[in-house]
Amino acid sequence: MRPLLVGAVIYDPKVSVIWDIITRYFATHDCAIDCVFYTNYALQVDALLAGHVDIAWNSPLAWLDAARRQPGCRALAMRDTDRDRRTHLLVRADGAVRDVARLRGAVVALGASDSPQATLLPIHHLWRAGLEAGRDYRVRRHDVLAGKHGDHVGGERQALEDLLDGRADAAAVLDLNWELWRADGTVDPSRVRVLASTAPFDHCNFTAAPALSPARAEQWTRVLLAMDYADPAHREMMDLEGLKAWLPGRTSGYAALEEAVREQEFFAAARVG
Amino acid sequence: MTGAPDAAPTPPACAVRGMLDPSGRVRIVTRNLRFDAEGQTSLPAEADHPSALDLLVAALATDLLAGLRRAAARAGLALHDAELSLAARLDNPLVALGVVGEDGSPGLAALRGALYVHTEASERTLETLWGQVLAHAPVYATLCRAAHVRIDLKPIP
Repeated sequence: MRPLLVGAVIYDPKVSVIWDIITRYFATHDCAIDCVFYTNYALQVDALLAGHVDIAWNSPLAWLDAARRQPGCRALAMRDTDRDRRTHLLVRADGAVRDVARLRGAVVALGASDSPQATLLPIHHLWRAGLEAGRDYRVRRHDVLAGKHGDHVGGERQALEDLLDGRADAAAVLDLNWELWRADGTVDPSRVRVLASTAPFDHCNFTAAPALSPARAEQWTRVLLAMDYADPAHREMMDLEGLKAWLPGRTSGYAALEEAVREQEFFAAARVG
Repeated sequence: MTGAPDAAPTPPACAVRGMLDPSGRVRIVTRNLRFDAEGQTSLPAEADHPSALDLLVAALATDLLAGLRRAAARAGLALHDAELSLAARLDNPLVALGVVGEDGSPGLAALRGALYVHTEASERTLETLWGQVLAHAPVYATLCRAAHVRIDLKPIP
């Protein structure tokens, strides 16, 4: 039986080390895989739908793109940390912005234009609060490594710097990054506070192409979910990838992003790149 | 039919056989030696065997330090200690990893290094000696055709 081909987008050669570990793990569990790397999610989704890879580690936006183009796609698995994420809109603690309505006429710093967490969802959150980007507030965008759907944290970091340096009145960052930057001293929590947070949303998932047989998908998923954080042999990779457990894939956490891309006509504008 | 006979073929300066084993390692056999290598690049922090890139950069280190030893001996200089540290950078490592959609070359872009030498020779003598080493080093000469190579001489007093 040929190895399953698993696609992943990587922007840093070091990330390939994680996939080497995953590949070895699957090999020792009689479920051989090979990895195929892509430079952006558009190429990866095309490859998945064309059958060049069987499974793809997809961003939430890439999942939506694959699912809308080929409805038989399945979300096989995700990290525990992919579930119920939020984006925080941060403001300066001593600033004038006390509630979301005060963002009218303000400058909001965002990440990459194709980042669900740092652009699409915060714009959607403000839209639901009655504020339209470009009309009611000005956007300062940080298109770091477009096509990678905000995987690179650089865009969010630059948005935060805008806020700290006074170039923006608010900045959108993922909750996990906010927690990390508060803990490591990147940001002084006494200078910045959370103005508002989006509703919970889900992040990445392993997406199976419709052509992948249910039996092979089930076997692959079973092996992945058997990875155990208590096992030192598995922990290194799980720490690198930022999870304590793999969980079954679910698609209920993408509703807000689906609304956001529809409202912002993201796919119509063909900006998935 | 007349004419000069074909010249005898020049024997190779080095002959190596590489054999792929089922685990993905490459068994290298050269002269009376055999050793294993694994992978193209050197990304994981730990490995059981050197990668192709490790071997390439190690070849340069061996080339230059062996050349230094020979040159010092011929010049009658006592070489107390010598250490060469090297770092290689690829033009686009993502291309070397086979990332679909990446542009550029997987080849070496630059090799930087420093040679730390402890000898009683003067700095000027050492520089002359080092120039001779570089002029006669086959791996160094070859890599200089392909990448920007710069090695700084750091005499240890």
